[in-house]
Order: sequence, then C-alpha cells, then structure tokens
Amino acid sequence: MKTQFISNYPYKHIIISNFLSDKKAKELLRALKKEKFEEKDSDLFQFRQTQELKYSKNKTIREFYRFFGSREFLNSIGKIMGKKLRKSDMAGTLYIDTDYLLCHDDRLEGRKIAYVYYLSEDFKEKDGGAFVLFDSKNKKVTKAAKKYYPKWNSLLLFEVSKKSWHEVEEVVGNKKRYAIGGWFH
Amino acid sequence: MKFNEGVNNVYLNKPVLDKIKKSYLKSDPSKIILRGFLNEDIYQQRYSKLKRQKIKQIKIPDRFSFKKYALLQEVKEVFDNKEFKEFLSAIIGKEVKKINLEIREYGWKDYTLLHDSEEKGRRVEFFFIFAPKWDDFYGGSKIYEKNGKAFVFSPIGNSFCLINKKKDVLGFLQYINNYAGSQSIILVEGWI
Repeated sequence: MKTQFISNYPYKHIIISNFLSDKKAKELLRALKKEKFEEKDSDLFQFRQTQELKYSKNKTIREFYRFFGSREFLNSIGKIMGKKLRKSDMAGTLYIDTDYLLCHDDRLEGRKIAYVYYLSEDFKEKDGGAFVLFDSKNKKVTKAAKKYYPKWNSLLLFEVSKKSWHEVEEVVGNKKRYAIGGWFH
Repeated sequence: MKFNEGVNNVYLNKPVLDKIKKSYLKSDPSKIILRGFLNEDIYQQRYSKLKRQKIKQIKIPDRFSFKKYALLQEVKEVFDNKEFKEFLSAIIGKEVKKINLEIREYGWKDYTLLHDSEEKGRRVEFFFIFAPKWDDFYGGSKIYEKNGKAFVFSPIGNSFCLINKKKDVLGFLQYINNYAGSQSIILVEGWI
C-alpha cells in the first residue's frame, strides 16, 4: 500500500476498497443519515455538512470517530503515508443534485493527510460527484488528471501538499452522495 | 452608433441621472442596477451578433472557467466611448479616463472564484448582461462580498450593474449548474 500511495499520479494518494465490513458500513450509513446536515455555500462550494462528529450523540458514529483517532489506526495510516500523525477530525458530508466543490488544495495549518470515506451507492459518470485530482506545474494547477467516482465503502486518502489540487464534480440527478471526511494532523 | 442613441432614454434624463447618482453613492458599497438599459432593438441586435461569434473556453481551475469573446466593435461603441464615460462620471461623481472591457460567456460548469490578484486595480466595476429567461436556481449570479456580507446581482438580461470595489469588496460569479442545460449568459465586464 505504501508503494502504491507514493507512486500514484498526480500526487500521493490511495483508495482502499471494502474498508469496513458491509454490515458495519450499512450501520454507519444509517446512523449518518440521522445526523443533522447544514447547507454550506461560498464561491468555492455548495454542499451539506454535519457538525464535527466527535460531538455526535449516536453510538455508532462515536465508535467510528474513536476508531479513526485511535493510536493504533493513526500509526497504521502514518506508516503507509510516511507521516507521524497525532489526531484526526471528522464530519459527515452530503452532496445532492447541483452540489459541488471547486478546485482547491486543502492546505491549512496542521493538515497532513486528507481522507474521504464513501457511504453512497456507487456513482457512474452520468451522476457526477467524482473526486477529481488535478495536475500542477511550477506550483500552478493545470488540468484534471484523474477521476474517482464514489464507490460504496471505500476510503480515499491523499497527502495535503502544494500539489494536492482537487475538486468534487457537481452531482447531477437524484443520487445522494454521503461520505465521512476530514484530515489527519 | 453612439452610446446616447443606444441607451434607454430614461437614463439620459438629468433628474433621473441625479437620482441614480444619489442612490449609488448612498449605498455601501456604492452600487446600482439599471434594468432595461439599452433600447430593446439595440439589445437584441447586439445579442444576436454576439451569439454568432467564435469563442474560446478559458479555464484556470482554481480561479475561473468561462468562454472569452473578441471585443466586438458593436459592443465597444456602446461601452467604450466619450458619451458612456460621461454617463459613468455623472453617476460616480469622478472623471472616467480609461475603460477596460471583456466579453465573457458563462454556461454550465462555469464560474469565477474570489481572487485578490484578479481584482487588483479595479476601482469601479460594471457589467452588462445578455441573458435568456433565467432562473436564479441555475446559478450565474454575480456576488460581491464585503466583511462577510453578500450583495447579489441576478443575471437578468439588458441590465447594467455598477459597483465600487474599494474597501475590500471582492466578487465572484456563482457556479452554473446542470439546470441551465445548454443555456448561458453573456456579460460585458468592464472596470475603471
């Protein structure tokens, strides 16, 4: 996994399929749907987001949050990524028809690795919602290099750097794009 | 054709122009929207001419995506001449010496993002809109922000919008979504 993470183009990233057991993933999605999603919009995005999930009252969600922040998990992810990780933060996101996130690099103090855990049914090209990775040259973003359509129960991880330009394509149609995401610091 | 022959006569009326100036200067940031700005036949002629032009898609993903038109003489003669400069001066209360113009088309998946460097040197910005029947839900509104407060200009055809950009006012064009389909808006964007 480490080799794959380092060698992936256009910047360090990896997708881990079937991250949880199907039963656990379904349980988590049921719990996530009960969370309150608030609409967020700016020049850069339009989507819905939960509060920081460490404050969730739901047992399943809190368990998942604790698992992501556990020393054991941070060490395993840190080994693959070649980073020393201290903690993680986490929120649920929901993209519905017309929601999008335009191109940005995620860089903010302390963010080392970004992650998105997909809990929506598989998306196809016509549904939009792809995670798009951009190529860059001389610190300037150039063109879309790779696309991943949300795949049920898969975890996407990428290194936050000057190169980590990405976007979420607009969702088109009735599919709901549920995910849990955040950063390892 | 001179500006004074193309613009809706009502906007050349001195008392009306004084009211526009007062309203512009009173708002914070200073701004004004003038609907039915050009005479309808001039508006339709220019719109048809623009739609026949060859255009080029321009995209810098972290800044903007739109199609750029060549500066048509028929557009310049309305928005870059002595009479138009005098019209602007009468509203903003300052002499207008030079006008910069661009014509852009925004359709599905197009946008501009808030960007300091993009806006540098634009003291007063204006834009004129060519648009089909448009629903705000499609996106495409021009939004200006000042201290977290947003000022929204919806894309309504034959409207002229003017805003003073000083004191940390930044603008962007809201992403246009799939409900716009093949429809688009054309903006004559200018700044002084």
